[in-house]
Amino acid sequence: MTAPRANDEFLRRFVRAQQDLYAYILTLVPNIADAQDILQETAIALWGKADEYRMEEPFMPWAARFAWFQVRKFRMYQARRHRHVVALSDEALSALAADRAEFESEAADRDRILQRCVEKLADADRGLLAKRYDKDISIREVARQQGVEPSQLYKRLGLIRQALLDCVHQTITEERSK
Amino acid sequence: MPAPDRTTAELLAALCDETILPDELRRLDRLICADADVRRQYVEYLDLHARLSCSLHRPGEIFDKETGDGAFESVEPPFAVSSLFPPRSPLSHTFVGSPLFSYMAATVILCMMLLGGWAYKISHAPSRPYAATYQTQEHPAYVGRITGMYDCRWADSGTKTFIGASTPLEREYVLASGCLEITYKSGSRVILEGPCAYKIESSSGGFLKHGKLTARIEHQGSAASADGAKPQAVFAVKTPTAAVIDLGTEFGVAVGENGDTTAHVFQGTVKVETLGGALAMLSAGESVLVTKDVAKKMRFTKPAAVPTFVRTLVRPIEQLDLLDVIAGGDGMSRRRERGLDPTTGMEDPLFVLGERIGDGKYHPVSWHRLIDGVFIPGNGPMQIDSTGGAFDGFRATSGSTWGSIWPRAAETDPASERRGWIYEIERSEQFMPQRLGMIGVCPNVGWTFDLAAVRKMYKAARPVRLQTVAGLGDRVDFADPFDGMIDLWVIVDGQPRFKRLGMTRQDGTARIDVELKATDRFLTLAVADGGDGQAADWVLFGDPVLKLEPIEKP
Repeated sequence: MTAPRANDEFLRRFVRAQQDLYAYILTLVPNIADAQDILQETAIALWGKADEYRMEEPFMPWAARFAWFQVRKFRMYQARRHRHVVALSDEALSALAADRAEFESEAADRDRILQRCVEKLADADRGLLAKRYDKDISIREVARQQGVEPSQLYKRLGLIRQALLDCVHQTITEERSK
Repeated sequence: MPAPDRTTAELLAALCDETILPDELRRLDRLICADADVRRQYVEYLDLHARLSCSLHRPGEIFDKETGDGAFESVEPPFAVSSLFPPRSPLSHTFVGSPLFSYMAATVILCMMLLGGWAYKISHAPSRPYAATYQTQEHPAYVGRITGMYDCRWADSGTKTFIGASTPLEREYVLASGCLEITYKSGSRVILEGPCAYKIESSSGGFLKHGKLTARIEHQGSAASADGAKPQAVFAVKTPTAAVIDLGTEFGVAVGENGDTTAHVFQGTVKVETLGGALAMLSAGESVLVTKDVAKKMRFTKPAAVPTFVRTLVRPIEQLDLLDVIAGGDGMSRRRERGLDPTTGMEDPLFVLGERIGDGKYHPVSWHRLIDGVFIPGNGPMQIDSTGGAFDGFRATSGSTWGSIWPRAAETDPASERRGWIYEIERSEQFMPQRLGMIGVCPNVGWTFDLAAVRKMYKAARPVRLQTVAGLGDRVDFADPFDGMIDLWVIVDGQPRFKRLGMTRQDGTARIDVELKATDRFLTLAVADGGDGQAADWVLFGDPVLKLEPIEKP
């Protein structure tokens, strides 16, 4: 394979895998901006090591090594730079990662199911959810616009997420019973 | 007392929303380590958080379907490069122009395009985190996602969709007006332009009953790849009279109410095949019209005029970050911690502490398109822009200043080597409620932004307001015998639009919100000593932004 074609293939695999990497990182580092930063660093690291990637090798396990390294690097950086920041312990993260692995077999249809559940939300709740995950506006700003306390919106977000989880559980149960 | 599972749910919500308290996080940590049910709950909750984030958060796209914010623009979105790789300076051409950059930029653009997410799953074993336990799974019924919407009005009021929604096979989208972008799992993308009716017929194309679309194709090769990707079919848009088959990159298709089909190629090559089997090959810049003649036989003709096509949906830029501009960026790259020398206009890579003597002259800044120049207010009329515009409202000053015009980040590392008053400000949050950062200066200093250059750089929007929170800052553990007094000025084309004379520390902060007109050219911010000397005059402009408004297209 010539270098440009190898680059093309590498790029394609990276693009395909990047949501996996993002979800993986976000599970371990729940802050969206931090997770995106780590994804960026991972992307740069991956690109720097592209020559070492063997095309016959599955991409995700190879790429996840870099993501895992970047997560650890971020945690060390955060611990050093922001000593006051309290984060989950390494022990807790390891336990979570183990459970995450078991969860994968159940997660296959969750995108589709969640999609349907989101569609069932009231417009206002879906709008709030969209704003929560839009980096250009903070919940505080949304609260200011709506003339309510941010805590009210955070509470509402918690209820919406719980409703979505309930909906996902219910749908999975229904589909299994068919 | 709430039930245990409720408490855990609240903790998880607080974790995701970053409102969790340290004690609560420690409690959650203990629960995670001790209780398998809590771990299960955590994994499910964070999985939901990740999916919502992937589906709903995609930088740079039109999001707000409720307000219909958005605009058409035929440029690549500026967020892409600056968001995944180190921010670029308007001057940094060496790397920007390199092949490596192009490839990385392409990578990043694709990354952000596809951050909407496909249904690939990941599993992870902590004891052997790199083990080959990953699998990819696709749901066959969904071929892509909605990745952009602009002011969509549906022919059927019952239609409900949103950015991030999956696009199932056989789904028909009938737009009365507005634009809808669908990105297929292959990476190929179509932009529907209402009024139109488009049905997704396969994972590699659809049927355009009427209306217009633009398709941009990402080829993934014809052979199955080593990681199991399926070979990609050729992308085709069918119409009532023809099939437009992609042979490379980007094309537009317009279908009239009578079924007549116009195909136009922007890049690459397409094959147009009529229902009767006639073929035409089109290259970049070429068009063809497929019509039915009186005998209902298909034939090719040259269209009298090529329809216009929407080729890109871009989220409108809502504000320019002036901290980033001062630091050498384009207002979008979140640069900080690199300032300006107010006596020369050159870059200050470090925060300078010493006195700087002005020469009474205006110093144009040639290295930055958006900064016109700098000056030190002295005695008498002062030139404040590069076209010779002057202002004589400043009170007489010493003709000197201290230090840099410095854009400080909101969060700074207390353990870093940085030092100076700008890093010792008490209650800095009052200046930057949005946590963007603060421009710190000491009198006497002024600098001018070129609003015309802003309009030129961001063609789809224009600056409509300057907003910042300004005032004198207090230093931590610093008992200065002087209170400090300053004059704050915001001047547009030589005319004051805001002034606060003799402002003291006791006055607190001043919220500056200055309206800017479409014809305004130069925006000047200046701080002069208020008459009691420069001691303790630590002046801050917090969260400084230029608010932008989309320019309405006729």
